[in-house]
Amino acid sequence: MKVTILHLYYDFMNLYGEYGNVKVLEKHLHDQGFAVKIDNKTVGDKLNFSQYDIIYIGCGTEKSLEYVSKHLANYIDDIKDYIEKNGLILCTGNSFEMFGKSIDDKEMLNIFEYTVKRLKDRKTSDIIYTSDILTNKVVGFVNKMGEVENNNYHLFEVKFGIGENNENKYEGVYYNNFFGTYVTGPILARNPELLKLFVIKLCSKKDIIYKEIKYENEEKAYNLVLTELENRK
Amino acid sequence: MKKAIIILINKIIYKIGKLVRKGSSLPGRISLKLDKDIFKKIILPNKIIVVTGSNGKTSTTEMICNILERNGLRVGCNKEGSNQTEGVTTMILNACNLKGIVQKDVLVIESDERYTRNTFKQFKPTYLVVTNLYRDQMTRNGHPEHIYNIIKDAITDDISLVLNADDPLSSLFGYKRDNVIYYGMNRNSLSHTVNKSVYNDGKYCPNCKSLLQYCYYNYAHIGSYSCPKCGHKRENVTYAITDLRLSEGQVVFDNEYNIKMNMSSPYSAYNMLAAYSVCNLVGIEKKQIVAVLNNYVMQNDRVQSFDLNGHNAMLLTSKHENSISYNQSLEYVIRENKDCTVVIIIDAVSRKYFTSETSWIWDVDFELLEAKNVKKIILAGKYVYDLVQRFAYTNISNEKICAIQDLDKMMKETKEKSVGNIYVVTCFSDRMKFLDRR
Repeated sequence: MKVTILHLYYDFMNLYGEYGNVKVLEKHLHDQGFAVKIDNKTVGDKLNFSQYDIIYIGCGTEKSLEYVSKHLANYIDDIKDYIEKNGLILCTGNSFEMFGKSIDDKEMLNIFEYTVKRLKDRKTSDIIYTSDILTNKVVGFVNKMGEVENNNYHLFEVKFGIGENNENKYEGVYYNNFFGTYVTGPILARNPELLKLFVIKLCSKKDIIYKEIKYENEEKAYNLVLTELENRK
Repeated sequence: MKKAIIILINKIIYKIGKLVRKGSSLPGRISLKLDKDIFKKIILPNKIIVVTGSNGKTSTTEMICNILERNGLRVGCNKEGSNQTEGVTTMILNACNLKGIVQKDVLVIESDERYTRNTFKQFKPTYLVVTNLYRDQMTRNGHPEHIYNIIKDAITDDISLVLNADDPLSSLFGYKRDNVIYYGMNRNSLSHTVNKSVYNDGKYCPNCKSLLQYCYYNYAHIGSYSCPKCGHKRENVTYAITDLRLSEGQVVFDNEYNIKMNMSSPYSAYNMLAAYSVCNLVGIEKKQIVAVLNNYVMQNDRVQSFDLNGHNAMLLTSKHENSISYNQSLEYVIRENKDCTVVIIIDAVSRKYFTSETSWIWDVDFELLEAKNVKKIILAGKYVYDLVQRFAYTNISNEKICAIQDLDKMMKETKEKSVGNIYVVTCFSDRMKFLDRR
């Protein structure tokens, strides 16, 4: 059985070791018995979303994000269709910003209603988030230059560190199978349960029974960071 | 308040601070509080060199200082102090007499990239040297383009820029601008045409995001590039490394000057060239500069050699959160090509602030350690399991890798089970944790 991953804008949007997300996903799917194909696509390439089981986009500079958003704007209907049909998408770092209505006065893809305001300076912090769809907390780092407003589909609740804006304690976007978060870097490598969630989703999509596999080192890395951050609170 | 009093206060607090070994930024901070316009009231020397950039600024600043001093100039330098605005203020006011005249012929200042904007509000450099802009401490710095924008804001037309032509991002400061001098490394035996790093920050033009065309790379994305769309390119250089023979520890400047390198690497060669360029611009003869650089030993040496239980050991200080700095150390290990054990320690990510951010581990070319001469790898420290995860995606066999979180046990293993030479790769935040356990 084959799983096809689209690593979209793998070169523009890979600022904080984000390719690690694709690597760990590939390995864990492989461990479940899948043959995994990774398609690296970037600006200028033709995109056909329907052939993919999961789409991943990482974090880029503000300039790169604007640049790739113009390319993705050619596929608004296709990507809407993909999302409405429950297609899996994971966006980390600033990449989910372009799925909203606007960034300042620049129009974006308008797939979701939220708007993004660019900040004068960056906001960064280690974070601990929780989510209804996970038992364990999510750990990581946010390195952002935007604030999200008017977001109706939150993914996380902020337990430590910064969230989507100064007003509320929420972060991220969760709608159907669209997952977006400001958390940067290899979030799947650092959060075993979140990775498992995606693997399980892909297994059920392919009608394969998920095999429980223990990844001891990944658990240890996660637990260490969680303890460090909890002590910091 | 009278400037003489502020200068005096600055000097006194500095002296007290030195006695109790406190940082160098407090006197400057107080002075700027007492009079935010203090810089308008003092007389600065007519030559001010500021060095900034992600990597190499401390080494470059130190070399510039020594070259100028050895050539009879009185130099004011913050090489031992803070590189943020307050620390720079401390140093400059300290060098003033009570009339407010800086008693130096030239100031050589290392500036934190993010503080250039602030510092240049106080005074303008005559020459601004930018060594490079890489992924570095992104938890504080955001990303290289963000730092580029900050420095760009600080640059005014009257500043002469001294730029590394081979770095597509920092060289962009000179794009369509006058008053720029470039330095760079010409194609040599080390140059290659494929960038094998895990990421490539030179793939796209930082100006217009079109695909850059490369003639060659010297390391990472540093090399000769051009943008077919906007015309941003490696400009012709005034000062050049014309040959680099690492095995002999030799670098040649401007086809003429053979220099023996104490720490043989392309990174040091670039730093030496930056120092050479700006010193020549302020009027020191090339021959005189080269005499100082030849066999130059860094005061703040990041490399330390010692014996460890009968093994030749070397500590290669590398900056956490800076993949190029790590690659620099790993490349050294491979170039030495001796059977060896490599110890990598990540215990505290930073010595200055708290973070558990480890994404940068994925940006390091740990694949370099797939080389045959690496017989054993010991991963250690608090974040050892993040390292283990990253190494799982290299082609290094599991049998070679030994992961130990506890540092005492790591030292026992290193002493008793190492094969060949030992190279310890770690950061300022963690180096003493190794050295103290020897």
